[in-house]
Amino acid sequence: MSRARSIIRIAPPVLLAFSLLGSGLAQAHGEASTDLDEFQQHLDEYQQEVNQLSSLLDGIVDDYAADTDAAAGVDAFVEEWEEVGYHLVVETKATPLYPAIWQGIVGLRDAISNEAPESDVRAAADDLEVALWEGMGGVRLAAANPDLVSGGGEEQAAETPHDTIHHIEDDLDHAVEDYADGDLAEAKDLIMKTYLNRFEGLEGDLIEQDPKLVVGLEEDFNARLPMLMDDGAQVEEVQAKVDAMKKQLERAEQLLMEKDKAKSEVF
Amino acid sequence: MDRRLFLQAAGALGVAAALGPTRIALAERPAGAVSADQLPTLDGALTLYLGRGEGGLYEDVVAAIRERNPALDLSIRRGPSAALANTLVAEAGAGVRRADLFWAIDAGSLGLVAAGGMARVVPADITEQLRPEFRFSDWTAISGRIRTVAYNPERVDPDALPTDIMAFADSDYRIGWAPAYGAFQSFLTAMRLLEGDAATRQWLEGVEPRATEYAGELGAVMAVTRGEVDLAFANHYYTLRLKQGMPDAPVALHFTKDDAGCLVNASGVVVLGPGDTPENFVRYLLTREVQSYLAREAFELPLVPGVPGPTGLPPMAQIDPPKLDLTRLADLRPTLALMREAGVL
Repeated sequence: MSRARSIIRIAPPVLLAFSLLGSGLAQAHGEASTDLDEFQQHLDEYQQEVNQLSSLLDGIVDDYAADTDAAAGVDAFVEEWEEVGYHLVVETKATPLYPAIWQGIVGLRDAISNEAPESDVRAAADDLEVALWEGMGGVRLAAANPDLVSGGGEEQAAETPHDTIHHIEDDLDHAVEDYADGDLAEAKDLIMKTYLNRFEGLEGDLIEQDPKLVVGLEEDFNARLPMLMDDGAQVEEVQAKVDAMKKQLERAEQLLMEKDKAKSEVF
Repeated sequence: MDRRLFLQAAGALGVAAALGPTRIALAERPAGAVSADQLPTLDGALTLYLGRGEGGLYEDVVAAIRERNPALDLSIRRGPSAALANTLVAEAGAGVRRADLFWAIDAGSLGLVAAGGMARVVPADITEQLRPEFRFSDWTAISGRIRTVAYNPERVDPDALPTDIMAFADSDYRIGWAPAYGAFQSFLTAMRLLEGDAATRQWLEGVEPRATEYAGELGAVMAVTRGEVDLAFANHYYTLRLKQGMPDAPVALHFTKDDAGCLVNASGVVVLGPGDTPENFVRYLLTREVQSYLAREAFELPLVPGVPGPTGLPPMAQIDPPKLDLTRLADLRPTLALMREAGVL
């Protein structure tokens, strides 16, 4: 095969970086909470709630060891988990880490209902506790990087092209920071994620207006920028590449705004 | 969440291998999509999990439905389809249902949710609106995209192009492809399911020496227009959108017959919540107005008979896609392994 262009390999996800990239989703039931607007100021409360949930897990394992009704303890845990403010904040501000908590609950419930050895139940409870704390880590990271988290106390509006381009540019800046910090894998992961989750959604409308622009950016995201990093380029060189991409993205935004105005009505 | 993480999570939940809704055998309904004017007004609370896709056009559809139905209290959670599917499975596993509807851009994510036992059976009057090959018991296909061979008519005689995708491995054409692209990997998964692993590997090894790799499928189609390659494997909309912007671009579409080369993949909806409102929301998605909009603005294939397809594409009746359970396309692991073995990934 003549490899005219190199392509990026899909790397394992880096959970915390991903927690920012994918966060900012609207909450499922629109349970608006003014607390969420200032969630950064409630981190200690969330941490207390995680401690409280962890204590419940200890109790469940103790009940199981004592052959008492541990399944009821899981029900009580779910009830508590549904109630705490931490639930909503991890769901909305560190969304990709949220399913792991539910998966942890399922794992613990299964271990108990399958009458697994005590050590397995302990391991399942430990996994769930880890998921809770990883969620807390994601929330803290989101609090420290508010620019990467949109939305808040009410349902998040659909992104405009301007919003999406802004997110992409932020992600590219953070990728350069990761690279400068020596974290190559995280930098490349962030580039890949922003390409797949954000830029690909813009491509369709852009192709009609400037296909060369799309192909150029596609190659930048998938080949040129990650290859620069793989080759150990100076940070200044990587930053220059990102700056050039941003110029192209600004042009893309302009075209998309024009296209948006020209769209027909659904009904 | 990327595809691999999605698959890892699916595997961990023990459901990936169990994907597969039941096709419903029904007589084809006479052509003629329903108009939104014939549908009841939507009201009450509804939570929609909405997968990102097609440049916000699904958002436009949802916004238009919301505007048309002011009494509808609609909450939306957005994210990559695979991530939302994982969340739904996890929530259900813990005995919680937070969504009434899940609209995803790929059938694999829908299959994951359906296999989790959360999906409500689709009412017959909804399935009957769709083309027979897109009628399923536990999810509703909304719009499609087709695999094509994009070729340069100045360099290639269309009559000489094979109608069997497997025959391209034995041809002399210079080929463009994007093996790292999700759409290509789904296509190859379909080939693996239809033709078997050995034949797929042989096909990869046959094409690879004459193939040029591109970062994406648009890049491969653009290379066709420049004469850099004779043809490229790509989803139909890249060529149609390119022609929209560059009507004179030397690129045309060729379709193989009854094989992975003309696979039609679909976006769709799973109904999770009870009551009429979620089902009626799905009915809106199948209206003439919404189906036409998706064809007109996103170049997607309408799946309701009687709705014209995107400009530049032959009618669905003239396309001969393979019969394949689309939800099985979610399991990419064997495909990726095969691609690595063949040295194309």
